[in-house]
Amino acid sequence: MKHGDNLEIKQTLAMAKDFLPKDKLSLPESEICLIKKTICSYASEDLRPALEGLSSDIWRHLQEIRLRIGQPLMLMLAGRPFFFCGKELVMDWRQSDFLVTEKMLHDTVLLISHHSFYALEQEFQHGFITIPGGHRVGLAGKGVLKDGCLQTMKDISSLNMRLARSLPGVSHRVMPYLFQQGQVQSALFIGPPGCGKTTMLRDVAKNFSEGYGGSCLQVGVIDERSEIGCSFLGIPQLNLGPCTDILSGVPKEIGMELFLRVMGHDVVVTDEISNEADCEAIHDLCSCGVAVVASAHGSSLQGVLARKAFHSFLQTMPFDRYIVLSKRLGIGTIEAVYDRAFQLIEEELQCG
Amino acid sequence: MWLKWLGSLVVLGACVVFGLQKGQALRKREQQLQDFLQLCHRMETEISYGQTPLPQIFMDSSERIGFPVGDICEAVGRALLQQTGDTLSVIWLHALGKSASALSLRQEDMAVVRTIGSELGLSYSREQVKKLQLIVLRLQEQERLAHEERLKMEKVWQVLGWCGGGMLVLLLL
Repeated sequence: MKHGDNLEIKQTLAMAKDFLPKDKLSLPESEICLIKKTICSYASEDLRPALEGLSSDIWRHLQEIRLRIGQPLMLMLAGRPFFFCGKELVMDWRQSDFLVTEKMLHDTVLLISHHSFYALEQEFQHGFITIPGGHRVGLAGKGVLKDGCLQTMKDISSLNMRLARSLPGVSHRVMPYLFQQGQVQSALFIGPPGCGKTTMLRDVAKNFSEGYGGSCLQVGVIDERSEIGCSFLGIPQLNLGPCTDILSGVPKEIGMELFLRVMGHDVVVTDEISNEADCEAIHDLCSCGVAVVASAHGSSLQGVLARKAFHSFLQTMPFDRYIVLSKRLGIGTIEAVYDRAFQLIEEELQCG
Repeated sequence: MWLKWLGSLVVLGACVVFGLQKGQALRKREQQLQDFLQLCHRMETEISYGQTPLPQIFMDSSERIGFPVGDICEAVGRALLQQTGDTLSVIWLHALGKSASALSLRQEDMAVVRTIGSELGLSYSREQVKKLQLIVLRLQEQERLAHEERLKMEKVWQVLGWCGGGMLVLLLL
């Protein structure tokens, strides 16, 4: 019996399918196989058989693989945690019989680092490592500081592999609000962590780059934490379109200045604006006629307006649209769309 | 009669070749220790200044270091790139084992060389460089001993080969 034949899994997968638009967000089988092959190649020898035993349906919805020394191996599937119990996946961790050993974690870290742990020091400053395919691996252990900055980590005790997926079409319900009367509308996506803001930004960049609305636009992506393009060795692992330039690992204010001076973009996309420096850089771009599509953490527009860093900036109405996302009906749930004067245009647009 | 002379020539030739081979083994031992030292120095530089991943270091080194150490580097580099799931320690020992017949190292040399695979890649750069420096010190000591032995014994073996062969010929004749 393959992993995934029990009732709990079937119910979870059925629930997951309800949240995904039928034909718009289904990954082709070839991409599922590629994701499986990549992840398994970075898993240690004793972990690999368990992952290879998962069905392709599970791989289709698999979001995270978490390893913690001495604890059950955990899979996040459609937002729910599952643990191995023999040939089954169960939701109760107490029933799990597959514990992560120190050797398993250690060997997995060695594979992820290509046996070169020292070569990850720059990645540690971002907090995660990107592997081919754009998948991100977060590590937790004992930090080694140098001059007050995190230089590297040792005594790794847990690891989280977040699987990256390009979900083309995820933004199709909001695109009409981002392109009106032949003009790109600057927009701010607002939502809590894990609700799909970065996924949306990626798809928006791709749409504009590929010619949404008529002709291909020059798109610049400032990918400070390499989360939008998921670059590996400088090469974006996820498709952002043919007319997109990516600047990764550079602070937003520096990136925006560079793009403004030299690159002549029609649209600049950036993720997670959080402070006054980011706001000031966006203000400069917008006042030069460049459309900006960005995201910010928050559960509502009111919550973001109340934040000190954003309050006075947003009063200048730099964005034409404010789109609030949530996980209420699954990742990418569009709760509301507001105009530049913070007036509600539409609410509860479901993906698909 | 001519058969006796032919046999004597064969015996003499065999003894001379034996002596030459012993001398050559001493030279090879020293050269191979120098090659492993070169490998460690390259690693130290690449790790400190370039943070170059190990697969790339091994592949680059395979082009710069002669046989058999260069071949060992290539085998290790390729295996690391394939992501078979084996640790570097296992891959390194496997590569050393496959090239065992081509290596002229002693047990004590191999004990140091084996540690290269078990120490690499597991720690951050500062610690990694310290571990490599320790291996380099141990290899340098072995290389010094090998050099002294070669100076002392290379000629001795060559002369022994000739003399031994000559004596055997005289005895047989």
